Amino acid sequence: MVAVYKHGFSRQSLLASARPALFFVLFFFLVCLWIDPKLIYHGHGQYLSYQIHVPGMRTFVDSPPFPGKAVEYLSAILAHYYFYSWAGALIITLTAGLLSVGTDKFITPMDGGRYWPLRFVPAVILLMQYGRYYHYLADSLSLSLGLLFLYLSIRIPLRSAVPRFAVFLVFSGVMYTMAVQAYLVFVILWAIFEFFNRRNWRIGLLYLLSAVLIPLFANMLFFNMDLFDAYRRMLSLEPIADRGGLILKFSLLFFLPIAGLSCALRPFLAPKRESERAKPGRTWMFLQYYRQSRLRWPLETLALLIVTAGALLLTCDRFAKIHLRINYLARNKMWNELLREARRLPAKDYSVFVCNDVNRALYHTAQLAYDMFSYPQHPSGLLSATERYSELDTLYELGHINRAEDTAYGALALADYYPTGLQKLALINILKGQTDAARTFLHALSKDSLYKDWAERYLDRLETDPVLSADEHIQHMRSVMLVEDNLRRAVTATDDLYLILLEKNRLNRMAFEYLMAWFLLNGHLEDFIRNLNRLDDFDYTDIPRHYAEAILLYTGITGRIVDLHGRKINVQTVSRFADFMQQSQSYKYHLQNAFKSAPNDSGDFDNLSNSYNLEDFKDTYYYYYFLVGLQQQK
Amino acid sequence: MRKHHRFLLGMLVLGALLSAALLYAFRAATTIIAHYNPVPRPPKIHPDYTGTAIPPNIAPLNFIVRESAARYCVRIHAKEGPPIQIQSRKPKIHIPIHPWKKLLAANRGRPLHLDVYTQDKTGTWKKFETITNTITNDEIDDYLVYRKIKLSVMWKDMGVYQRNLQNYDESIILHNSSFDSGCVNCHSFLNNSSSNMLTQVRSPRYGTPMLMAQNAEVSALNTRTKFTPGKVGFTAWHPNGRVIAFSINSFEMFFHTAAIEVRDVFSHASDLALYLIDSNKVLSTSSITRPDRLETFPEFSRDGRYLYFCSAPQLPVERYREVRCDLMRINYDPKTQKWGQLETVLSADKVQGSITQPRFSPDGRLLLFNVSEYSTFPTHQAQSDLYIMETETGQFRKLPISSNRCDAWHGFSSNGRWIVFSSKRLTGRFARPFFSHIDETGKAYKPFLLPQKDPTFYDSLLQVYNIPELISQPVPIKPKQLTTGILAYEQAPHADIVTGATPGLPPVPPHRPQPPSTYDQPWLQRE
Repeated sequence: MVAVYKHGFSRQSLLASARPALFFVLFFFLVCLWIDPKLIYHGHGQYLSYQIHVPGMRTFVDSPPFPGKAVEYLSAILAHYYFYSWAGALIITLTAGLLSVGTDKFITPMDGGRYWPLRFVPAVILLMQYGRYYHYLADSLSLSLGLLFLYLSIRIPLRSAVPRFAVFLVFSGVMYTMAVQAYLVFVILWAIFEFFNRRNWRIGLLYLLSAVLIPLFANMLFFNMDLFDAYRRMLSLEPIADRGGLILKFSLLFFLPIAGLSCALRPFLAPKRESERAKPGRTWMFLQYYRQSRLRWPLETLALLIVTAGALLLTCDRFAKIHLRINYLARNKMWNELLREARRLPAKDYSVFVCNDVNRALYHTAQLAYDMFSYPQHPSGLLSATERYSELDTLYELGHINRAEDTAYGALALADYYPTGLQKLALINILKGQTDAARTFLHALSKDSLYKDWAERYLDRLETDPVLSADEHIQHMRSVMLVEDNLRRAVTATDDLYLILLEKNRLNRMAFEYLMAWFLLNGHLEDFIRNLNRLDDFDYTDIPRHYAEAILLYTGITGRIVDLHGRKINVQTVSRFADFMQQSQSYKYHLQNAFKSAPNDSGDFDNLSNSYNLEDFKDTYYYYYFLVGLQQQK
Repeated sequence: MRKHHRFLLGMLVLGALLSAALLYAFRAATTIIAHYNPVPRPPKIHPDYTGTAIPPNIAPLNFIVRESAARYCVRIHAKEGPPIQIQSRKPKIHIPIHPWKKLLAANRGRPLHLDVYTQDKTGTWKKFETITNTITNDEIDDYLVYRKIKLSVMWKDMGVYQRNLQNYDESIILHNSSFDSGCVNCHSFLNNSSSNMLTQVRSPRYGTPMLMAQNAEVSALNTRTKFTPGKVGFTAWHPNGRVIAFSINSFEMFFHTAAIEVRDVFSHASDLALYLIDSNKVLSTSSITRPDRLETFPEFSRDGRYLYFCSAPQLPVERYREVRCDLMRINYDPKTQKWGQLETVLSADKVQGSITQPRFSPDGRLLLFNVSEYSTFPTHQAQSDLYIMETETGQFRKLPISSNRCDAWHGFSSNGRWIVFSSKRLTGRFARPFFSHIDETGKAYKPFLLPQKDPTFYDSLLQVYNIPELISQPVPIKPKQLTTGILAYEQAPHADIVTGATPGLPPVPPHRPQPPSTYDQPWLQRE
């Protein structure tokens, strides 16, 4: 007997609503706490390629119309709110909800209502996409719109084929122009529905045929594209990060046609046999019992939640998350947290960009000269030659204002809207005395609610002091920035990059530490020793550990004495170096041999590493010198 | 009449009455402000539309009043016709287009006055000194064609657009998203007419066509020969419309460690050639393809007898600050295809700078050109000025309308009474189109900014405008035709070469040391 509650809900309907509610609550928290959409926002332009749009900016205005522009526009606006993890999670959860409802409305009339888990599959795939930090929101929104149109067509009681086809053509045209990402899926779903539900094969075939003609007509009427491009966009091939991204993208898009087709064909493929019905076995009895059991709902719901969380845990990309988190922490100057996070990352997963961020964090926590080799390093670990956006901050802080400016322009051009770049460009132009240009960047930024206060604060300050002469940060930056022009044809990361900064201001501590780190990373011991006297320009109380290690190593290799300007090397550092030496009676012989053969034969280093227990010295410069750095250079 | 028809009619009448009542209630107040306190200075308005000469067919010059107030009132008036009065609680002043057009049309050659009133919170009105502009008798061409690009060397989101100057309508002529994000290069028109247009494209996927649109037909020209790489730089039409002069430039972007402009352009090689439309031939001569010189920016004299161009010594990149162009010309007869002697019209030493972008007025009397410290590419200079030369006398002078920032990419209107140029004067960074009236004596009047519907439009615009060209009618070509032309480029036949360049490299001229270049550091002056 069904209990009726005072609000008119039956227990069954209440349970039916409670399951999706529980599912989406779990979904929301998984996205908000595990995936953390703010990492996607801050990874924009650096690790992730997608568009962010702020109303008022001209990101989409000046380009000609193209299929799917409306959905891309919406997706770019929504992506802006990923800045707040909770808002991003809400957007992703609502999208998943729309997909779930749409799936339900499609498979129920296709005789798939009893397969209730199917309705959650698109949401789980979406969760898996975000677990791997693939941001394909436009696809999901497009698919949701397609499902909405399909639902409307199911609800509109059109029995005659002609008006039905006319409605399809209208929706189809709208889908192609506004939401091309799922256009092909949309057409296939309509065709499947027409074939198997309405049993009108001719109209179904016409639907499929229209997928060929609508892009052609839409291109003739509205768009200005190469015809090949007009069709290529139907496949929604961009942006695809990798094979995993491709699989998940098409899994989401083509799950519905496959599910619909399976539901529709099931009666044909697996007809129930009368003989089986007549003779119920033990399994059948158990199933009957289970179906009527009160445990069924909680067990199935629990299974759904476990499968959902499990799917995320099994497929998520933890290293992508750490990379994005390191990037986020670097952008927000959370140095200690960044170093903690970096320690969790295995050495093999250290990219050059992670090295850049870690070294920047080490510099800002005064550990670069002491602890940089406690972290995996790379010869390009200070500034990579690829000019990624992460370098923007490093270049700026060093005093390479023009190079930072150029990098920011590039970032702005590629990412269309790049608020961090705009912030930096505003500051750079203030530094250079280009107040009017700075105002343009600030005005652009003030259209973004997230940066409005920051921008308006600077605009107000510029009114009273156009060069911000009282601003400490600006004054410091002006003291380190280059003011004498030099021609640079290729922008490469060499010692020259830091030396010209020290020529401008010998007290530029960051330039000094980066210069010395560059010498160490690239094995330029002679240059390192030559610049050691610059220590006198700063307030180092001792010789930083890595510098001491490099001095000992240099002495060990060349036999020359280094003038320490009255400083002393820490006793522990010397004894540790002596330990390193004692690992092999023929230490000097081996090292020199290895050093000489380094350019051609990495085998010497491997043998050396295997012969002696050198793992204890992993955080030393000499370990890097012989066992990491030179091999990487090769 | 049926019952429901009567009902519909009744509803329509009611709707009309309601609309009329609403319009009356929210109409702009046109009360005359009789009592006010005079302010003995002109108001601050932005953009700066003060003391300038404007054409009688320009769109309303909307502006923002940069005075803090609770209420604003602007009265625009001239000798003839009813004044326009705008009251607003916001400082943005949107001038209605139809009364504006009537007012301008009725007062050609007369001053146009702007009275700005502001009301404070106590209700007291203030009136600033009247702003006066002059409405010229000379109309400006109805359309402006320009390229909008981002502040980067990357070929992303760039396009050529046309703007109707009588209103604010802008449309795309060619956008690079329609052909896989290649580069849309310089465009040029014959005699300010949209019937003959050229534009170049550089696309990694589709090649480097020179697109020629003549009488609504587009053809993709392939200028590649065994001597020319097919990458066309700057172009100029011969007045007969059958010959196109073009430059072939080998540019390298380089980088300033400390300068207002971050990037700069160095030309490793640059030559000129002619494309003969009727015979699909490329023609050149050793005088304009010298291996020791960089020849660029071609421009035909209005009588078609001379090809003017800029020429600089070819130097190693380290000596980029010594690259200064002379203004040269060479006689050319399109009938016989014979070349004359090379002449120096104006040397770089004489103007103490590099001469680039020569452009003739339609009557050929004036030659407008650009002078910058160095370079064959003034766009990336922190400062470059506009100069004008009277062709008959050879006398030249710097136009006083030049700013202390980069003014470049200039051109004349079809009647020769207006010049348009791309100027960075507002911010030092973002080039914007400006117009200046040129009278019979060659005097240039204070330039004004291309008006926009939203007067704050440029304040946050992160794109730059370059190569603004005035044309009398809209470009009749649809974007799709140009895209189709680009896609058809691969099938376009190569041009035949008639004569080639002179091989061999003469010695490099001696080095002239330059003082180190540093920033202006206004913060130091302050301290």
